[in-house]
Parts: sequence; structure tokens; C-alpha cells
Amino acid sequence: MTLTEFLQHLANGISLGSLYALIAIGYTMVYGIIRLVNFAHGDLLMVATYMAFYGMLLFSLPWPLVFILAVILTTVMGVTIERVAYRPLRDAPRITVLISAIGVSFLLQNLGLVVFGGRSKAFYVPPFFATINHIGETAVPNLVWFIPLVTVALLMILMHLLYRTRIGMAMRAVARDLDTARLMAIDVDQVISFTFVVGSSLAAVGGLMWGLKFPQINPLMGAMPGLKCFIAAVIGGIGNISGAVAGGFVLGVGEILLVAFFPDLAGYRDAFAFVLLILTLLIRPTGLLGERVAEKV
Amino acid sequence: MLKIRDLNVHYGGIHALKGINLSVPEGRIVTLIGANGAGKSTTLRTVCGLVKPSNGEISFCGESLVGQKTTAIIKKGITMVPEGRRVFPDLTVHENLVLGAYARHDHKAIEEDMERVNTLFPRLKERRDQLAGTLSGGEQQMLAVGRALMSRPRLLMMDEPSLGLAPVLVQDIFNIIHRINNEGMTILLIEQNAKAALELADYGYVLETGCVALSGTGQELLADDRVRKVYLGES
Ligand SMILES: Nc1ncnc2c1ncn2[C@@H]1O[C@H](COP(=O)(O)OP(=O)(O)O)[C@@H](O)[C@H]1O
Ligand SMILES: [Mg+2]
Repeated sequence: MTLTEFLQHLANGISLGSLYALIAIGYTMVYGIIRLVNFAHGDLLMVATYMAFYGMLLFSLPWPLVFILAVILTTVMGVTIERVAYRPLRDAPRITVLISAIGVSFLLQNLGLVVFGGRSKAFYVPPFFATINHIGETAVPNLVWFIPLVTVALLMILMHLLYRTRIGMAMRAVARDLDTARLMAIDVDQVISFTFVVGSSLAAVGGLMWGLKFPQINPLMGAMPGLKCFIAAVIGGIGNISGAVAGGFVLGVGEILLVAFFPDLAGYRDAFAFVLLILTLLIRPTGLLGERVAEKV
Repeated sequence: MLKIRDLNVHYGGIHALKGINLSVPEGRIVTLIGANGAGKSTTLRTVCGLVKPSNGEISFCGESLVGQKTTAIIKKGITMVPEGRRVFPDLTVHENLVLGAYARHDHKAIEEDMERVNTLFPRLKERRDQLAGTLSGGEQQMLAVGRALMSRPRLLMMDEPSLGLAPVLVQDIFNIIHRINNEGMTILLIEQNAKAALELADYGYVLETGCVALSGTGQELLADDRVRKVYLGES
């Protein structure tokens, strides 16, 4: 493999890793705050891409506007899911809420099959993203640098939100100790809703960029990325945001380089995530940056 | 100021409070003593709305608190220093104090209270930007009390503030409680250290397995034979 080829693969890996990171943050934040693996999170990718697809097809709106609307509507959807499927179960055993999350995921997937049909659709990729640029010998489409750029910008906004604002401070407090946060007169439900706003909007942005990168969309498209991003969050240490980002990049870059160096293993691409998950759980169950999180009752 | 009437609390099958009556008059220090598992923490947690009573009445300045959300109860002017301090370890000392005033929007008054807490606990000022988890046990207790004061409460409830502290620090804590009370704060204090608590308090209740076994002024309880035997370790 030449250096040029290696750099090309690396760029691809970083851009895929960015997507994993964006989506993994939603898993980790929700887990951190209500100790729930939100299985419906991955399906928000699908929701976002279909909204964008129909926004352009039916209303022929310009794509930047469509993308913004899709992010907003997907966020509303994510918050609504929490409101109707998780909040009423706040005092129920955790397994009950988990089952509810799996139910929501199946509901979204099957609703997608009924409403949108099972056949894959071609997602519109604006010419800007497909334009190929040459950096030295390396040829990369604009999308490849655009994705990490958006990711870094969003991460900076997220860090500002968490560490420099009132609601961010409340989110960190609720994630650490629910009852004591209540004693600070923090409206815990409101903070949880806000956490879903953040997680869902990142997933929506991730989903749209996913659609641009892999422009064939179908109602089940969220399942595998969702699973992988959950794995990324576990590898990084679930509950820890920097960990989710690290896990996302490890998974994305690792997956691409594995296939690059061992083309014979291309068919096992998806298995890589699971192997990494098993290794993590065996060697370092708390993940790369994780600490033991207290069980919440 | 605070009145509890016939309060019953169940945790699943466990009957933790069996109809207790208790009242805390304005401006006083009332203490609640009793062995481990007697139901002291449960009483305070129920007042704060963290635990739901099965029946009974809790009123604060004439208003019923039963069924209200914790947020609403705190906003009425009640606060609690929880058992085991429970500072937020990965937030800074300053952030912990700011959270204490989370429900308030009177920025000038919050600044004043911040000053007051810093005067009361100069150590906290020195450690303003340090993570609370890196403080010593005594400093964390100061922070927990300071954080509670930041909500500008009318009733301050404290759950075993001296637990696990060195004797010199225990004395500090009792001095602080005394001082805050002199400035007009009403205090409901849970203590393992029965002697110190009864000496400080205007009135005391002895809780035994979910029932009020005895009550009286601090002096009366200190003089009581049973209290002396069981809680003060005298023979
Ligand atoms: N969360 C809980 N779930 C079940 N039982 C509890 C819980 N908290 C306390 N209890 C029980 O209620 C009783 C009173 O406990 P508590 O109020 O903590 O006592 P104290 O503070 O006086 O030591 C004990 O028997 C304890 O085991
Ligand atoms: Mg207790």
C-alpha cells in the first residue's frame, strides 16, 4: 500500500469515525442520565434521512433548508419518544424501560416499512459534497473533510454547553446524582428532555451525513449504525462523552483500516465492532475512559 | 413552622415510619436522634418529597407538602444537607455552590449569599475552582452546608453532618450550626452524636423503629434515664 492510499483510507476512517462519534454521544448521554440504552436512537438516523428525502421530493425545498428542518423534526421526535415511552416508566424497573426502548425501535422500523416502503431509495447528494479535491496525490470528495469539520464544530458547541452554561451544569449534576440534583431544585424531567434534544439533534445531523456518505436509504438503515455506535459508546466507557467520541473514532478508523490492510476480511467488516466490543468487555469492562458508574435505583 | 402529623412511610413491605408526630417551631433547633435504621433519614427525605408517604400530613408554614415535587418544596424555603454529604464530585466547589442557588434568579442576592458562605467557610473560597471530589471529608461537609445555604432556606435540615469527621471538625460543625441558628435559621438536625445534639437543641425527639419513643427539651432528654443509658452510653 502506498502512502497516498494509506492517507486516503485514513481520511475515510476519520470521516466514518466522526459519524460514529456523533451518534455515540446520544447513547452515552442518555445512559449517563437515566441509565437507559436507548435502542430507538439509531432509528433516528433513518427518520432524519427520510424527512430530508421527502422534504426535497415533495416540497422541492432547497437542500440546506430541508436539512435544517429534518434536524428539528427529528429532535422533536426524539424528545417525544422520551416523553411518551420512557418518562411514564421513570419509577419502573430498568428492564421495563429497556423493553419499551426496544419496542419503540421496532415501531419506528416497521412504521418506516409501511409508510416509506421496503425498497431502498436514492438519497440526493448535492454536487458540492461529491466534488473531488486533490490534496497532493490524495483524492478526496468534499464530504470526507466536511464530516469531521461539522463534527468538531458540534463537539465544541457541546463542550461549551456542558461546561459553560447553567443547563449544562444541571445535566452534569443529574447524571451524577439524581436525588441530590432534585434537592437543588433542578427540574429533573426538564433536564432529561434537554438531554434528548442534544442527543437526537446530533443523531439527526449524523444521520443526514450518513445519507450523504452512503446514499441508499431504507427503513432499517439505522439498525446497524445504531448498534455500532452503542458499541463505540461502550468501548469508550458508557456515560462518558469524551469516551464516546474516542470510541467512535477507534471503531471508524479501525474498521476502514482493517479492510484496507486485509481486503479478504471485507466481508467481516461489521463483525469488527463486535470483536472489539468483546475484547473491551474482557480486558477493560469500564471502557477506555469509563469509570465505574453507580447503579441507580 | 414545620408540622408532621401521623406520618407513615412504607418501602415495599417495610413499614419504616409508623405514624410519627413532630413539629419544628420557627427559629429553633430541633434534633432527631435514634439508632441506625430508626427512620431518621426517611423522615427528612419524606419532607423533601424524595420519598412518598403512604399517609399522614406534612405542612410548612400552614401549606401542605404531601404530593408536591421536590423542586416545588425546595422553592418554598426548605433545604436538606443529605446524609453522606453528596457533593457533586466532578463539579468544582464554585459550581456546587451555584447549583445550590439553581432555583433563584435574584443575582445580586445570590452574590451576597456567596460572600456569606465564603466568610462562613474560608476554606471553600481558597478551593473555589477545585473539583469537590478532591476535598477532604470535613471540607466536603462544609461545602454541603454552604450549598444548602445558597438556596436561602427558611428551614435547614441536616442529616448526620458530623458523621465520619475528626472530633475537632465535629466541634466546628456544631459551632457553625449554632451560629447559623443565631442568625435566625430554623434547623432540624439528625445526629448520631446525641450528647452534642441535645446540648445544642431546643427540643429533641427520640426515634425507635419508626416511632417517636420520647420527646422533650434538650435538657429533659439529657436528664432522662433511658436516653442516658441507650444513647449517651452511661450506666
Ligand atoms: N430505599 C430504601 N429501600 C428500602 N428500605 C429502606 C430504604 N431506605 C431505608 N430503608 C429502611 O427503612 C428503615 C429506616 O431507614 P432510615 O430512615 O435510613 O434510618 P436512619 O436514618 O434512622 O438510620 C430501615 O429499616 C431501612 O432499612
Ligand atoms: Mg440515616
